[in-house]
Amino acid sequence: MHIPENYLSPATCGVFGAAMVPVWVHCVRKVKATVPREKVASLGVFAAFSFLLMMFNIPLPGGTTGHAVGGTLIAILFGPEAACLAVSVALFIQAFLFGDGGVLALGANCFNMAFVLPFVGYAVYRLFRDHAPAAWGDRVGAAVGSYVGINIAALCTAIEFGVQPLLFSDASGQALYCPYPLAVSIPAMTIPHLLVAGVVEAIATVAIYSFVKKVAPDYICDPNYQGAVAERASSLKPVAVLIAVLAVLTPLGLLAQGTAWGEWGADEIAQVATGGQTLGYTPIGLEGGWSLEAVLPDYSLAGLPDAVGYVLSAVIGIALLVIVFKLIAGLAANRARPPRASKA
Amino acid sequence: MEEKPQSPGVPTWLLQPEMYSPPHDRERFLRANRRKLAGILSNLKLQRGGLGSDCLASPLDRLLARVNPAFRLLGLIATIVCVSISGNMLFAWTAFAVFLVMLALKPAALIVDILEPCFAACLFTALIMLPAAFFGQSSALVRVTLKVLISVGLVLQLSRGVAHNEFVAGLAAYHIPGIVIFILDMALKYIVLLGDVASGALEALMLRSVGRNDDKSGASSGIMGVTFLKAHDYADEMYEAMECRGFTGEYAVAARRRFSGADGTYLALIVLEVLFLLFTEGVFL
Amino acid sequence: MTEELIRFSHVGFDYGDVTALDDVTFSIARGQTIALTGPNGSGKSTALRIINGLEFPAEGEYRFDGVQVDAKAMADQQFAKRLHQRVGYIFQNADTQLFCPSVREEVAFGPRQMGLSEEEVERRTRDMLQLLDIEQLEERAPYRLSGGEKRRVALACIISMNPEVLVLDEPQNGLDEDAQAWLTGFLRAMAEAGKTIVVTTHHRDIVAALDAHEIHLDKFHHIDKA
Repeated sequence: MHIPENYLSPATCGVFGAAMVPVWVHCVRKVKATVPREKVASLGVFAAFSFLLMMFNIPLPGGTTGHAVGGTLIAILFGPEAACLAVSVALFIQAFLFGDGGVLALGANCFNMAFVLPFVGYAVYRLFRDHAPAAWGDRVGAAVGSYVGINIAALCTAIEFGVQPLLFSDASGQALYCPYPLAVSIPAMTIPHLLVAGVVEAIATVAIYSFVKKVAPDYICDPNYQGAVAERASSLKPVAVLIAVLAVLTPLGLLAQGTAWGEWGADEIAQVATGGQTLGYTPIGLEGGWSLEAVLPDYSLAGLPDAVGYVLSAVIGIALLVIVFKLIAGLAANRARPPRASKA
Repeated sequence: MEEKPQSPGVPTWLLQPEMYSPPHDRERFLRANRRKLAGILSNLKLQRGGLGSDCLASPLDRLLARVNPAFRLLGLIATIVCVSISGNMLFAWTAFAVFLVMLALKPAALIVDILEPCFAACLFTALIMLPAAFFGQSSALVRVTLKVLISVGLVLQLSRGVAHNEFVAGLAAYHIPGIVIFILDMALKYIVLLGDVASGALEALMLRSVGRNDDKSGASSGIMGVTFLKAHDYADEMYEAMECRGFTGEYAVAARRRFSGADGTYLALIVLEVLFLLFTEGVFL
Repeated sequence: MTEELIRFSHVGFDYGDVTALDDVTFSIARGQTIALTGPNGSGKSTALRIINGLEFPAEGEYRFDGVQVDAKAMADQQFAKRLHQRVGYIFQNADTQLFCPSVREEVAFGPRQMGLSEEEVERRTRDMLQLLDIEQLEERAPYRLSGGEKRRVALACIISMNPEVLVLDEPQNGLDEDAQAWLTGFLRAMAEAGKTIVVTTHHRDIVAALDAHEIHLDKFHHIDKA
């Protein structure tokens, strides 16, 4: 579910980044209030756990495997606010140190996986835990909560994708970022999550929760674990308000920016003169390789000589050759040496 | 101290050789997880407090190492934003050329290390964008794939060129609260520690998965369950250790670096880059 | 029967820039009890990991029961599983070796994997709990047991698979005197039952207590002390 770079416009990324700031502030405040000051730093440990959970490949009965996010699980174990912070930190590390998930898209990824997923999942879990028989209420709640949480998060992701072509296209209708409209992005995201990823999430959440509950129930650090239902309901209110506000503001924010981008694109195209070839646009039906002009822009803008284009392709070509030769040489050197020890 | 065993008699099945022929059961996820975990751990272990031996082999990397990591982070984000915004592919292809040149100067092992996740991301993107080509959105295929390549490549280049703890400390320049920096730093440390726990548990599972496992998800949940329990123990221990070291509630970050010539040059380059973007987008015409 | 079960021929191994083993050659016969001694960092644990098939020699070869164990051999899942069943490995740190929610499930895990009938699984579990004197821990969670108890549970869950070889990495660590005495007694009983025992240690007294043949590793090289 990690959104990569360039699938969302910087404007969208900016909006979600800005939206996450009050969420993070709220979570830090709540965590500081319910947990001793020194222990707040131990969030780092839980962030590490979240990171490891996300990279784990979990097998499903039947042979498929999938990845869980574990946001609901962490919310059940540490409380949703701590989960939000832990998952956010894990996502940050994935984006900046491992290139997993876009750097600019971090705000949107946090919104989906660190905010929507754990809070929705936790709310559903609490519903079951507080109103269903104690024998199975919490475990069913964990399963249903995590399933619902991840699917709602997937829906949010789909909507974020789907509005991109709507708001960020150039004058010729070519999408600048994600090219799939809502009609495509919603089923494309939600169906795999309903059928596979949601199931993986639910299974992983229930199984790990049951394990911890059986082995060390006192390790569950949710500050609301012993709390009254009434108290929980009131702390959910600001979150609900936040979501409502975001839902209203976001499209407005995006629209305001959107026109500017669209117009910019039009100006640009108006300036390109030759051949009907436009910026970076591979004509439909172009198979079997590109012609250089098709992918490199027309350099007659601002009277730049064609030399620029040639220099650029020369630089790219030479660099590619050097890289390829280095890789081949490296491979050959590996073969010549005695075989290195390798893991099973 | 008795010489004889204090336990009851050894059961007969233990005295006979085990005639066992393992059934066919694919246990790929164990090995896949083990390999992936090992890769992440070795990368983090190598770079937590310093750089791997390969990382500064190229002259360009050595120059960049003189720049304050906080500015390099700014440069990374600025470049990614510029690439993302750019409509004119000239900018994107120029960025690609610069990225390739930087890559070409590095030793082969580092090139592979950076390109692997890059290609994975590109392939994934290209596959996702492919259907778009069939209903008139073909430029997305080239445009987004190229931009993804550049963005992921730049992030990985920075990640391999700056020690992780310096990277996190560099964030302090942006007035991010000390506690956040501290949490990030702890997270990196504990990914390694917990990763070792998970790794050990994975190996234990692998060594005992001698036949058909009908409850694979249960077994892998056991691993993450044990990891969680360890996480809780570590968190408690850390709290106590901090108290013993006189922790008073302040999260101090190391003193800021002085602004150097390398920093100035780097910032000037960022400005040039933004100007170039504006130029290619026709702002100056 | 003293045929060769484990054979290291000029085995070398390194972790990146750090050499762990360099030109190590030794052989272990079926039914022997071996103590692998040497200072810290001499490659003892690495040798054990190679014996178990967790790592493969970078140089030289390792043969188990005459068959070379390398990446290619272990890529065959059935071969790998059979090796893991025949060679039982007790980790130095029992914390990570145990991953089930109760001791009984932990001990039953291996036999169940082997496809034994439920009665047989039940019988072996019972026998192991008795043999290791941990019957009272049956429903407890392994994670929360003491170090000595965890070591016994680890032994139980490995031996329940009836391996031919028992490989133990510094098994005496963290055990008090009584527990150490119990352990040496137990290992001798296993040796008498025909098991091949390989123990790493930097306590010389365990060598005598087990009446073991010593293989000494010094700076990654092997020095045989007959």
